[in-house]
Amino acid sequence: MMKFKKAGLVADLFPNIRLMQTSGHFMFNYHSETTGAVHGLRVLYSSVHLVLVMAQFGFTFGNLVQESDDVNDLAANTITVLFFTHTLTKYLYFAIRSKLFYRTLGIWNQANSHPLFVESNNRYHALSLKKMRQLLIIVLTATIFSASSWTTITFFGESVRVRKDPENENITVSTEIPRLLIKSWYPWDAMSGLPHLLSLIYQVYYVFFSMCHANLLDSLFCSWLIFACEQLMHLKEILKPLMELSATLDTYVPKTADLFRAPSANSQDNLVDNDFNEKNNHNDDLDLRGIYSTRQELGAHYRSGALQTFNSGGGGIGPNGLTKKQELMVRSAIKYWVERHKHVVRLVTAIGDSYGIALLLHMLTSTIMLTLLAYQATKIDGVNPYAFSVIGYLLYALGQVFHFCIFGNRLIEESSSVMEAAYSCHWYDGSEEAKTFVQIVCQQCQKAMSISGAKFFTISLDLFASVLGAVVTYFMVLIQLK
Amino acid sequence: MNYIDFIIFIGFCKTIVVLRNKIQFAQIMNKLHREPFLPDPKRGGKIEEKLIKKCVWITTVQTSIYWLCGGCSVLGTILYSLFERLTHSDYHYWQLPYGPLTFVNMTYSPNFEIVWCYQCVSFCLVAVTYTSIDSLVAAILAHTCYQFKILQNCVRSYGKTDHETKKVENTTDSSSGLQATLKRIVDYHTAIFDVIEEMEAIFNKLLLTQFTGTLCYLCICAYQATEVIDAARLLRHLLEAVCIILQVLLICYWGEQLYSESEKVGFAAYESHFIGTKFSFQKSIAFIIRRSQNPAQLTAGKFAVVGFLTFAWILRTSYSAFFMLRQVKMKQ
Repeated sequence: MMKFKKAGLVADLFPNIRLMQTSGHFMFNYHSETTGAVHGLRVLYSSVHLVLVMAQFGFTFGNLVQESDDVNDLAANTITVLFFTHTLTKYLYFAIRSKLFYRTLGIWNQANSHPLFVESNNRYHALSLKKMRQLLIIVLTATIFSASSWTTITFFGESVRVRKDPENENITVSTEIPRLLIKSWYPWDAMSGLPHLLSLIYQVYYVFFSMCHANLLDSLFCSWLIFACEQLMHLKEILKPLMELSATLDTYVPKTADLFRAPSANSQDNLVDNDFNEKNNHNDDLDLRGIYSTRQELGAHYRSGALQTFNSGGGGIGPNGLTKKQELMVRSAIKYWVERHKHVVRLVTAIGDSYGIALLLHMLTSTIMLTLLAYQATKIDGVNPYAFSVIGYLLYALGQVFHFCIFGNRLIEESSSVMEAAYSCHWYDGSEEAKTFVQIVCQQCQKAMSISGAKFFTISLDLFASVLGAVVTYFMVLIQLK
Repeated sequence: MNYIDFIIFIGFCKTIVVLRNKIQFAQIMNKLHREPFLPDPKRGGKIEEKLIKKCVWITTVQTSIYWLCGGCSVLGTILYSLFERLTHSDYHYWQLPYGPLTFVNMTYSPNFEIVWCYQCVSFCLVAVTYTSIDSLVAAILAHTCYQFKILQNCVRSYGKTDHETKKVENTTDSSSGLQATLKRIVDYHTAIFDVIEEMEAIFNKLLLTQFTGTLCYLCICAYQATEVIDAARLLRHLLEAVCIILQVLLICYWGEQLYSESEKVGFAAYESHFIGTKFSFQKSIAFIIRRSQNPAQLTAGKFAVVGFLTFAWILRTSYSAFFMLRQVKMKQ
C-alpha cells in the first residue's frame, strides 16, 4: 500500500480531481489505496453512475420519439436531448481517453529550477493556484445555481401537453403529464404518489450530476490553461533579470542587491542545495557546481552587491566581455529559460491532444442546440416559465462556450506577448550570447500557442464572437420567416 | 431609445470609467510631458519640434471643432425652447429642451422655469464631460501617433550621425555612440508601447460598450426614421445619426493611424545606415524591425481592433439589422 505523492499539477488540481472522482468520472489514479477490492468498488461506483445517466438519457430520448408529431415539442425535446449529450460525450470521452489526461496531469511533475528565479517561480505558482481555486468555486456555484433554478422552475406553470383535437382542427386538447424536471417516458406510471416522488428525486440527481460531469471536466481544462499562462508570465518576468545578469561589466552595473535578493539571505545556501541538486535534471554543466560551491564568495556578494568583485574570483574575461563564472551563470539562466519554455510548449501540446476532440464535439452539439434555441426564442410571447427556460438554456450554453474561449484567448495573448516582453528587457546591454538568445526567443514566439478543436477551429474570443453572431443572425432570419 | 437616452447612457459610462481610472489617466498625460516624449533636437534635429507643434495644432483644431459642434447643438436646443417660452404665453406651446417630465405639473410659471433651468444645467454638464473625454482620448492617441513619427525619424538617422563623427574624429570604433543611440531608441519604442498598453487597459471595455451601443442606436434610429413623414424630423434623425457616427469615426481614425505609424517604424529601421556597422548593431536593427511587425493597436474589449475595418463592420451590421426590422414591420 503505497501512499502516492501529490506532485505538480495533481497537487494543484486535487480538489477538482476529487470532485470528478466523487461525481462518477472514470478516474482511478491518484488514490492512496490501490488494492484490487477497493479498485473494483470504485469501478462499480462509476459504472452505476454511468448506467443511471444513460438510462435517463434513454428515457428522455424515448419521450422525444413519442412526442415527435408536434413541431414545437420536437424542437423543445431535441434541445433537452442535446443539452444532456454534452454530459454523455464528456463522460464517455474521459473514460476512453483517460490515459491522455493522466499524461497531461503528470507532465509538470519534474520541473527544472534555477536558484535565481525560484522566488518568481513560487510567486506565479501561488497565483495560478489561487486562480484555479477561484475558478472551481465559480463553476461549482454556477452549477448548483443552475440545477436549483431548473428544479424551482418545474413547479411553476402548467405541466400539460397541448395537442390539436383530432376532430376539430381549431381546438387544442391538453392532457396532463407528470410534473418532472425533464419530460421523459418511463416504463412505470409517474403521475402521482411514490413513483412520482422517486422519479423526481432521480431527475434532480440526474440534472445535478450531469451538469457536474461536464462542468468539472471543462474547469479542469481551463485550470490547465491558467497554469500555462502563469508560467508564461513567470518567463516574461525573468527576462529582465536575466539580461541584467549578463550585462557587460563596463557598460552597465546592475543593482545586484536587487538581483540576488532572496526572502531570507541566510536561506540562500539551503535553496541552492535542495532545489538545485534534487530537481534540476537538466543540469549538464557540472562546472556550475564549482560556481555554487563558492557560495561563500557569492554569499558575501549578495550583501555587498558589487558586480566587479566577480573578477577576483579567477578566470579571465571571456569573448563576451564577462568572466568565465559569469558567463557560465548566464548560460545556466538561459538554459533554464529555454527548458522551461519548452516544458510549457509540451504542456500546451498535451492539453490540446487530450481535450481537442472533446472541444470539437462540444462545439458541434452547441451549434445545433443554439440554432434550435434561436428558433424557440422567436416564440417567446411574455414573461412566463417558457421564456425563462429558453433564456436559461441560451445563457448556459453561451456561458459554457465563453468559459473555455476566454482562457484559450488568454493563452494566445500571453504567448504572443513574450516577444514584447523580450523587446522591453533592455537587451542592448546584455552580452552577445544573451542578445542572440533574445532574438531567437522573438522568432520562436512569433506564432502564438493556441488550443484548437482538433484543428478545425482555434479556441479564442473570436470563436465566441462568431457563435454569438451566428445565434443573432439565425434569430433575425427566423423572425423574418415567421 | 432616442438620442438623449443614448448620449446620457454613454456619457454615464465614460464618466464612470474615467473616475475609476483617474489616477492612471493623469499619469499617462503626465508621462507625455516628460522624457523621452519631449522633442529633443540632439536626438532627431529640428523635425521633432515641428512634429510636436503640428500634433498640438491638430489636436487643438479637433477639440475646438468638437466643442463647437457640441456647444452649438446644446445651445440651439436651449435657445429654441427659450424662444418658444418667451413668445407664447399659452402653456401648450412651451417645450422643455430635453423631453417632458410627467410627474410635475408644468403648465404654470415657476415650475416650468425651474425644470427648464435644471435641464439646461444638467445637459450642459453631460455635454461638457462627454465631449471632453472623447477629445482627451483622441488627443492622446494623436500624440502617440506623432511620437511614433518622431521615433521613425530618429531610427532613420541611426548610424548616419555616427558616420559623420567617424570622419570628423578619425576613429574606427564608434560602438559606444551607436550603443547609446540604440539604447535610446529601444527605450523610447518601449515607452510608447507602454503608454498604448495603459490606454488599452483603461478604455477597452468602454470602447466595446460604445461600439455595441452605436450599433443598436443606428439600427433603431434608422428604423424610427422610416416611420416619420415630416422632413424636419427626418433631418433631425439624420443629424443625430451623423453625430454618433462621427464620434466612432474619430476614435477609429486615430486607432488606424496608430496601427500604420507603428508599422512604419520597421520601414524606417530598414532605411537606417546600418551597412558597415558592427554585426551586433545590424542584428539589433533586425530586432527593431521584428518588434514593429506587431503594431500597436487599441482593441474594443479584446474582440475587435479599433480601426476602419471595425467602423465599416458597425455600419454594415446596423444596416442589415435595420433592414431586418423593416421586413418584420412590413409583414405585420
